[in-house]
Amino acid sequence: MGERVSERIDLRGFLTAYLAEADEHLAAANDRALSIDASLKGGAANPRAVRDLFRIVHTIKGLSAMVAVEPIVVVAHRLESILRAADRGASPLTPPAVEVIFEALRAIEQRLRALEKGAEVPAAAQSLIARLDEHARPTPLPSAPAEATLDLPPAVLSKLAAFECEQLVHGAADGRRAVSAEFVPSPRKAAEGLTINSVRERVGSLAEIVKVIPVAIAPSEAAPGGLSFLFLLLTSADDVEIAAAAGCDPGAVRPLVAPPGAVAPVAGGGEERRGDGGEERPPSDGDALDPEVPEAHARSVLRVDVGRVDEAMDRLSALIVTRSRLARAVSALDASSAVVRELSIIVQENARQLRDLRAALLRIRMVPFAEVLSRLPLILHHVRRTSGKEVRLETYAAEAELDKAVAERVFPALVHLVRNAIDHGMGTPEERAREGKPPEGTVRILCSARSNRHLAIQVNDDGRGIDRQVLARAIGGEVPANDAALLEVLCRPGLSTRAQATLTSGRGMGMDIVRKIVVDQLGGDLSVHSSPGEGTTFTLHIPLTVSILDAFTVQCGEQRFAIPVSIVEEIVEIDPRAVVRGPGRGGAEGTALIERRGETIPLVDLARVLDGAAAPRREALQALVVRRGAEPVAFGLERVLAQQETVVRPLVDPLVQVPGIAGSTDLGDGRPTLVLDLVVMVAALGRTLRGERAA
Amino acid sequence: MPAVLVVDDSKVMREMIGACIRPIERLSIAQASSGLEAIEQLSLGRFDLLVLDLNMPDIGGLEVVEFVRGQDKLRSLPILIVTTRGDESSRAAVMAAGATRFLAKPFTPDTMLGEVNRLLEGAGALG
Repeated sequence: MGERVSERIDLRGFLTAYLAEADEHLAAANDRALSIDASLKGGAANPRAVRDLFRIVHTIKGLSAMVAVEPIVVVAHRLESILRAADRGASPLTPPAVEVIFEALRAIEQRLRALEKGAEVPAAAQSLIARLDEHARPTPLPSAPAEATLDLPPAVLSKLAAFECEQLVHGAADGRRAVSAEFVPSPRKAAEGLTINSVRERVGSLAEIVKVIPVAIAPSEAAPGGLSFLFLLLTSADDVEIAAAAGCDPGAVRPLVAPPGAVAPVAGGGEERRGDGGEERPPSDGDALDPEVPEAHARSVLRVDVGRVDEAMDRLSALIVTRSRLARAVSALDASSAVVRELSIIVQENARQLRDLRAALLRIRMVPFAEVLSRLPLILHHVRRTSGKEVRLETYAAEAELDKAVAERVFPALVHLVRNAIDHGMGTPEERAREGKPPEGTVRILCSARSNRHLAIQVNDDGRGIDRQVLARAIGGEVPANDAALLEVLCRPGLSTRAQATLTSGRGMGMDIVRKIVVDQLGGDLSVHSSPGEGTTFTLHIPLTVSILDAFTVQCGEQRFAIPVSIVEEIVEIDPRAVVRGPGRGGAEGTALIERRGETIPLVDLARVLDGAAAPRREALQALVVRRGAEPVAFGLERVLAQQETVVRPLVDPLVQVPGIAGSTDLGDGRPTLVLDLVVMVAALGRTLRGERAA
Repeated sequence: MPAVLVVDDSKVMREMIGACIRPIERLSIAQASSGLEAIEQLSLGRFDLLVLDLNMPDIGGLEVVEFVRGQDKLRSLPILIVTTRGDESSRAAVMAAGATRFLAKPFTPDTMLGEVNRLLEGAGALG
């Protein structure tokens, strides 16, 4: 068979998957960079983290090249050079080099975000490239390889890097044992779920895995593949536990470093156990596995495009609309004195089930709050560096979860608050010493579920507290009398600039933005409590979920409305001369009709539908065509302003909402804007229009 | 039925490679996410081609190639190495250790398909 002409495969189609995976790599990279930074501050190198980071950056580079995101390739390539030199011991990382690494990772992140938004991915700043190049130049240092005293055959030792030998020797000196264990894979074990991946996970929960080395052995019944994996470990667990996890005989767990003057540890209990069970259970492959050792917790995580969950939500909304029609039909039956008792019970049951289904769907979108907070240490790192202050971050998120859309929106607010706490609330170590406080300040983030709909987040610092006198002078107003008044002052849009000279150094406070996010966008609330000398606490109450909707914003009379894009079939321009009037009844003016592709569509004025006859008549210039079933209706309005993503806040319980009003949203001007569900309006208008058209 | 093992720690990368070579008739594509897993699958299964990334968390591509070439039953298995710009020295090492061909990222789907086709043909795996 020769080559077949393939359909063109466009690897750019993998962009969404690429973004998701790149984010994971980037999170891992930041994590390693933070470890390296912490080790350096403690005066030690962290060769394992350096190697990991090197590998991760290399992966990012390769992936980015495949989907042709050149600006990321350029940064990753430079970053990789620095890390390669460090990994080979040619040029150990210095604190300035680590800073450049952080900066490069941030540059990569910014480019991923641009890509995600569909924006042009900008080339990296020349200054960053220059500094990366500067640090990539090797400054060789004589390296002193560790004299390994490991009890391993030379063939195995040759597979270990110097730092891995050192890790085993030092780890053993620190009170843990350095041991080796064996795993011999076989189809039979694989059928029982015992593969190198699962064994590595199981062993990893008991021990630090320094290295796993594949060793060729003579094929046998127990080892049909002629392969054995040798695990080199540091552990506090005993041999029996390790053997159980590795699926090997306890006798196959061997010490690598003999404690001075001691006999090699005896395989604890291994001999006895074998003696005990020997008769009933002849030794075989999986036998050393203790059935009582629980299976390693298998993480079962599904990655789903948020769009698909939203689609399911949309379908559910349609179902809820149908249910309200059903409920109305039942009431109508009831009114005509039909016996509907059983039907009513079914309808109620159906409502409950829909509510449960909605809750279940919303849960899919939930992310652990702890995951949101895991991005903060990196930001803290930068603030610490630029401010010269010593700060510790403590987070208490417990099990709290919130909607991904809420998480994405609330995160910038948290960043603002943490930055403010450090920049403005906290003194330098010297200042703190004079205040009688420990040199290191603490920022705490506490998160607790307030109800099953709301989350309370507190951002607390042990700084100076907000000086109300200074604040009053800065704004040229009165001293705020209480915390509520204080918040009002802090959230004045102009405060950051006006007060900058006197009150703050550096970054503006941006509290107005925090309040905008929490209150206007998310429909939550924000409060502050500040005591002089003791610190400040901001409390955010936010809803756990919001709905995000792609909507047209339209101008209709004096008002603006948002209309979900998904329900609009078409936007048409209205030519007033082409509008015909249907025959009216009883002297009333008939329905306006327009023609579109051979189909006659009633044109109703949206302003009049909403306000009744009170709305002033004006000519509609554009119309949105909406169809319910086979029935199209054109809603006339002045014009469509824009299409944008909006956060919809439900007005009430979705099952008892006002027909035609899906909720409200904030379009960024601080005023609530109603979100209209025109499909429901079509249903309400349907009967009259049908009657007129037929006449 | 020709069988290929695709080894890369990146899921996206494995899927991209899979998409590139899927047009080959009756091809069975297995995946491994690490060097150790690759060695395990190679020892227990039967494959006509190994497509191997150099850069992996546990043991790298070089160690995999060294191990494979040290085993009788795998000595003639064709190995296609997938490398990235900047890998030149490790690439040289892995070719010296006995890898058959290499392909540098970024590659086009057609290049990958062509390479895999040629290697499978050379191994007599395409009936």
